[in-house]
Amino acid sequence: MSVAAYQKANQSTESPKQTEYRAFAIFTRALEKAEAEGPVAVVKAVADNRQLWLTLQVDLASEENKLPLELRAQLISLAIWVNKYSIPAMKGEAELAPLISVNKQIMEGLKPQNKPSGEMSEQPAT
Amino acid sequence: MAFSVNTNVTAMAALRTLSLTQNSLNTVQRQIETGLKVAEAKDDPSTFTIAQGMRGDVGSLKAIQEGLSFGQATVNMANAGALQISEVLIDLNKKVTQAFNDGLDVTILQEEADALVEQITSIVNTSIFNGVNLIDGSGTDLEVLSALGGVTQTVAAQDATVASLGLSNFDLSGQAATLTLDNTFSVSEDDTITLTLASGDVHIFEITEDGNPLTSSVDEANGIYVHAVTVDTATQSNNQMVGIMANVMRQEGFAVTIEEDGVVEIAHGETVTVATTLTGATAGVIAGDPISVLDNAETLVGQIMTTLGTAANRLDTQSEFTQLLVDKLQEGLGILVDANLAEASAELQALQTKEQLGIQSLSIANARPQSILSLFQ
Repeated sequence: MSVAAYQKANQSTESPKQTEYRAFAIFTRALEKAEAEGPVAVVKAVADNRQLWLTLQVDLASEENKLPLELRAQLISLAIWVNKYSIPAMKGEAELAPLISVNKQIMEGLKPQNKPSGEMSEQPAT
Repeated sequence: MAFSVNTNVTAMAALRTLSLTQNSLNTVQRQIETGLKVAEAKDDPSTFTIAQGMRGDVGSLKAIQEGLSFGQATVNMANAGALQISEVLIDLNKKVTQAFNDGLDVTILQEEADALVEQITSIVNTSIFNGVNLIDGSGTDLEVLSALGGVTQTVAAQDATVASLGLSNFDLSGQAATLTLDNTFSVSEDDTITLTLASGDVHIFEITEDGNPLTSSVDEANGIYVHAVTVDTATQSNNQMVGIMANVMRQEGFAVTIEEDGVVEIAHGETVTVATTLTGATAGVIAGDPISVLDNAETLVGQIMTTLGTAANRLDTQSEFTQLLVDKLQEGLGILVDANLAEASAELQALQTKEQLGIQSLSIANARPQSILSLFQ
């Protein structure tokens, strides 16, 4: 299956919010496991998480983003913080816990209402 | 002092006025306005150009941020690998030293050493980010997109493989080679020192005056490597030239010790023999010196870490400019953005954001929701 077809199939089965939740779930899980796995895993996990936030940041900064201004600003502030904090974190000079805890809060916020969290798809991407 | 760098039009105007009367504030003011620590080109020409370019084109900022982020991850990955290798080497060094001191059975120690050397190989192979490995000796430098117009920074590829560290077939009972230099010792163009390893690899070190082509034939596919020892016979003393020769050998993983009596000991992880065309140099054999081989490997890894660390710092400095994005946000949004959240406030901010996200039907990246899908690769 081509990437385009895969993306299409994905979009028809989950909402963008669910996709974001899944992205956060995967990258946060990687961050949680990274410290035990060693510095190489730390670099990978932090870089991937940074990429996630960078992607969000660029969208949030665009005028087409429809979220309320204040929420956008809060998320951009967090994205800037993640970007900066990732530098020492990648080198093992800062703990990953704050990154994990920030992500978890965002995941909570992304959880669909009226749906038990167990229904969320959390298979790792291949 | 913590500054919050927001796009605050009024504040910027006020700062501009202030600068007319207070020259000393000039630099600080410009830092606040631009989010830059570089005021003028003369302070730091390269970063200034980058900053200028960024101001002109926000659209490319993402590419630069991504380029830097990728570059930092790749370099840090390599550095993390090198750090792990240096820890393994220290471990190995301790074990070997202790075993030799206590007169322990070399056979058992050899097994442990083999395992540790294998560990180094596996570390090298896993220190890879998005397909780029900076320490496996593949020799491809990393070009990091770091400013507009395709400006890149180059991070030189390193080689921390066991072969380059002199630890291939690490043999605790291997033999080392010696060169005994006598009073007739002299160095001339095209002289060679040929080091042959037990595995069959041959390293030819050829004396050459700067700029002259090498005459020995290379055949890396069959394990014949040629390395230039660049000297200036007209001005350099024999001691200086032997020193240069030793350094080139060390870079190739040979532990070289120059004794005061004119004996040069050349050790490698495996047995090494030497032949030379140098006048007044006699080849010999001596018991191997695994400790000095490990010391040399540690030095080489240390150099790799220094190089990568410097490259990482350079990229880190550049990535500080990414907060420039804030300057370019719509006014209403920019005022609300805090570009300098501290760790504690980030967690608080996240908590507040959670509440607001919860009551939102929209996704975060709702302008381009597919962008998140591209992350699942």
